[in-house]
Amino acid sequence: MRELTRDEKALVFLDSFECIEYKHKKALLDLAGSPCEIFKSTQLISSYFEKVGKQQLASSILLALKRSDYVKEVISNCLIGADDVITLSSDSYPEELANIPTPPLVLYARGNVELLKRKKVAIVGSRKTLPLYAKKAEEIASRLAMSGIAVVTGIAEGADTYAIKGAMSHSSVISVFAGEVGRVYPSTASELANSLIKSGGLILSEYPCGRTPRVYSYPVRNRIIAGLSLGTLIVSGSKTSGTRYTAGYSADYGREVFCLPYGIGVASGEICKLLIKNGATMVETAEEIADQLNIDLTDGKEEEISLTDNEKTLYKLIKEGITSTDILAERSGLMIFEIISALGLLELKGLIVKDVSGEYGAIK
Amino acid sequence: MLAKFTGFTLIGLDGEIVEVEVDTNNGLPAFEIVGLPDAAIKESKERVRSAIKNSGKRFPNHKITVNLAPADLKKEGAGLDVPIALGIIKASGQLADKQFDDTVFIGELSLDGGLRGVAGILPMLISAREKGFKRAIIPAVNAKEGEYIDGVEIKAASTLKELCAYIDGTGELPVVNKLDYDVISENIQYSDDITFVKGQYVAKRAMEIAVSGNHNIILVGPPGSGKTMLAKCIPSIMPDMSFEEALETTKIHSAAGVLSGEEGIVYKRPYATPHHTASRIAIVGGGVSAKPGIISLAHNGVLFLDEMAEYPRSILESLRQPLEDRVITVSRAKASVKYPASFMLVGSMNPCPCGFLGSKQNYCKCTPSQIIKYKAKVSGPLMDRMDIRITVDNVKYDELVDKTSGEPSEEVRKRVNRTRLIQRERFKNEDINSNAEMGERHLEAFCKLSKECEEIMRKAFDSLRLSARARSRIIKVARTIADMELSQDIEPKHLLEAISYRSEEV
Repeated sequence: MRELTRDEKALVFLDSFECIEYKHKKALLDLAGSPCEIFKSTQLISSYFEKVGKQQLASSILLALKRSDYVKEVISNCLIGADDVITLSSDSYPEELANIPTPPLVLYARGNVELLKRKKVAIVGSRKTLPLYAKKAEEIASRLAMSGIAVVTGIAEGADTYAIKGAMSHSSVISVFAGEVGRVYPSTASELANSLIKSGGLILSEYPCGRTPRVYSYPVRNRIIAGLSLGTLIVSGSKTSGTRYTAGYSADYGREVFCLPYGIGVASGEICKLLIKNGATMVETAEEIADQLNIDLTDGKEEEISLTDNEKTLYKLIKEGITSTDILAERSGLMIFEIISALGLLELKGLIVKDVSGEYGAIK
Repeated sequence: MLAKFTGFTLIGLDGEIVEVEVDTNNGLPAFEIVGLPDAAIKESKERVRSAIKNSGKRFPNHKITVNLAPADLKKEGAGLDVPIALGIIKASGQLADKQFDDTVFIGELSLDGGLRGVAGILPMLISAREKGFKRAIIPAVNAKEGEYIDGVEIKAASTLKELCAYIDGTGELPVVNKLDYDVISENIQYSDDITFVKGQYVAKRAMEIAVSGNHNIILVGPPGSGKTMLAKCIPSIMPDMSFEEALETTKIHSAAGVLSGEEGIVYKRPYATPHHTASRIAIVGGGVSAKPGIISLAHNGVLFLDEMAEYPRSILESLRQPLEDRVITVSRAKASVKYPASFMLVGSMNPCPCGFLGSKQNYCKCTPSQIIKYKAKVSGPLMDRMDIRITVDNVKYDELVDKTSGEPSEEVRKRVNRTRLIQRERFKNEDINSNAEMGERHLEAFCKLSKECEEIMRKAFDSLRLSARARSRIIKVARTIADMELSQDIEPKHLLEAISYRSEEV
């Protein structure tokens, strides 16, 4: 762990007061000019809080400042579980994030912080993403990561997990937590988080050690995901899904919002349709995203996939929108065991995906 | 005077000889039964007294002692009423003095002197044959159960009076005719037929495979998708029972007293559907005298657990060992009995508590933790024993072009029989009968994978993220599919199909 500068220490110190609202911290910093002024000018702190009528907040800071070991203690405590800390005054603080109206004062990081220098695209979606869309998210994430673009996402199951899985193989994934970086929530994702770190990925959070995720910290976290990225791909979500915050922030910050297309009556994709109606860009491939963002993708090797006659027939039918095996069996005229093995092969070749409900969809 | 007749009592699934000795002595009138009788036997005093009186005989005014030998064996059931009554009649000098050492008498008495049916006649008759008895006299009600036993002459008596006449030599008892098992097993009618199931081609195919290889199968799907209807059709496509299998199953049913009077033998494969409120004892077996449970009644048949996640964890876990060993040892104070329990487990469940997980039309409102909790109700090791897992979705009836009936169960059953025959042939030197029972040793010997197949396996592991323990299960199912196509080796297409029945970890 590197030695923190005085400015950085001041930011970590200020950030550690959970009782003080973000707007007060930000205003105080603006008044102080440079963060380390906080340590010097007790006058400044008390006069500010007097002005906003919250004297008790001032006293909590001033009391802490009087204890000589307090600052040291709070800083070393905050850092448990984190590999690095990036503050608003650090050189490594990502520019995109600094440009948003409410940049986190401190980012705690686990893993490879170098990823923050890359171009970043967010991929988020709900936990109940249909397998077809989850696969699509994985494929897009993988394609972007392959070209050196960092994929920013959360850690929940569903779309987030698949985005991580896709980008992980190319060591280019940033997962933003809604609690401390040292503890994975949901705990079922612990293994995924570990392999993410091992693959050379990065876990970020604005919360110090000891903070567990709260219900409200997810929408707040989503501003970081949106703020870090040039654009955000919304994979799935119902009308009330948390992804609407990410999309909203992204649009507010002047970044691109991309959505996967959904059909009529598919409940798990309502948010995407809504966003598209409101001007989001509908995309189906990583290339389309890259075009919009003016970034270049390295040439992906498109493997020539050879198909047998049965596979061709079925693949064509699936592409025409026939998803149930019953109907496939009737339309293709093939025997059911021929269909099952051909569908198995198509799935292995990565052309189709099977749903939880046993239906099929084409991903390419 | 001393009289002696032979009866039988049932210990688990085996009949044990009971020598019934009756002695009348001078003294105050009394009636004593010794030799560890249970409550039903102790109460037989009253039945015997009235039955003798109502059969035109006299109940002796002596001190009567009945001894049930061997003295250390706990006897139970009312089946000893008849030998006790005969003993008393003979001991009081009202019967011809003939020896009946090679004859077994079984039956409960009614107060009017009639013979009532007894549970467990079949296993008792089998034991009697094994122990070298030449003749058995059973209640007429149970005559059906004797129809399939060879090697011992079986006679049916309906009243004590008839029986006394027979012993005196003044009357004859009807002999129970031997029936040919093949004739009866050929004309089986099933109430549910797979021909009435519309669509669901994959599920039907999976069921055929499951039945062919005796694989356990779990059907997952939203409410109302037809899981139960499909499962109900399973008996109609199960392979025919061989006589040995039928006898094994009948023995258990007879011992449990659930055999219907109409057929003497269970020739249809049993299909047990315990409700999820059933107790563990009811399902596994137990009680004071270690009676067989539902899993033993389902021996050689199907155990269907509808809404599997609703069963208490303890019940589901108690199935693991019988699924593996195919027997269950029920140990209780009175006895420790080994019951066969070789059944095919069929389960059904919803994908999540609300049932709509993964459905396009309905949005599932369950939280991830609810879903995890729901799925965790069926433990990993148990899920591991489910070889085939398929998703059953609502049939979109309007979209089906072909609304005619599908293949009838009979056709399917013919194929299943053929596939089972191949397996029996393959395992004739092993101690197993079907592909599902194969262990690692058998896999090594009978399921060699070609290079191409190994490659598919490797790919499937990568792209479908299969667990390592899924491997042997997939190979077993692939072996069955290959057998269905009369193929010597497992080909890639068989393997692929088997892999597809392992839809995501349920």
